[in-house]
Amino acid sequence: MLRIMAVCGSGLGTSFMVEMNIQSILKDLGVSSDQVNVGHTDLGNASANQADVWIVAKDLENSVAHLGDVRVLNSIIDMNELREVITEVVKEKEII
Amino acid sequence: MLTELISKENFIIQQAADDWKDAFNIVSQPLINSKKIKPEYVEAMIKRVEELGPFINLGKGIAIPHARPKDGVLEKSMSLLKLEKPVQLLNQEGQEVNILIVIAATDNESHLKALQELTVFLREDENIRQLNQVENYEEFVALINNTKE
Repeated sequence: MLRIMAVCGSGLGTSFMVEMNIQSILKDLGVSSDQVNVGHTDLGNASANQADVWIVAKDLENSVAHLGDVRVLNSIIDMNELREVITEVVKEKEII
Repeated sequence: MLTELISKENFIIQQAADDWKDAFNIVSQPLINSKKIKPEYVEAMIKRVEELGPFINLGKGIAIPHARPKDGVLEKSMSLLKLEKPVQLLNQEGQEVNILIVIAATDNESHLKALQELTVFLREDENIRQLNQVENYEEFVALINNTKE
């Protein structure tokens, strides 16, 4: 089970939006929730053992380096960019 | 859900704001007036951007200012400000936003349905283009209702 976590400053808004969009993309890719688990959290509560891959907006890039495998988004609502990032992740992890 | 929270009173179209902080104050005013948030919630939203950077900038001219429930939210609410002339978050180049949507949540879950609607809406560039052309609240409601899945 691959665990992907979206992170933002508060854990209330943007990270939830990213989580939703990731789930939508995974569905399009034919990946089930048994294969990949997606969640969202805020910077203060994020710790490295909670996820395998972290998705974060560009402005928080420097605050999350300690979490491990971090992928950076230029825009939170750019579905094309997010699709590229997520497709790359699931290919790398040999899920598709 | 989205148009219930962003009621007519909480929807503002304005030519311009002095700067991003002024825009935060303008968009929050209806929520303060109707006692949905305390004035300190506005300060908390501004402070978070100053401390964490412009993480509320979704891209494509849209920002969702918000802080935490304990920062002064009295009742779950949202408001929207559309500016004809963008402001720059933190006065930084590349941080132009002209649509600001305040999210005031009372816990980590109850606002998610509205946010879910907003997320689905914002996935389509065409919706954002049309949102930028909306001239009054009735047109906004029609746009949101038309684009519901």
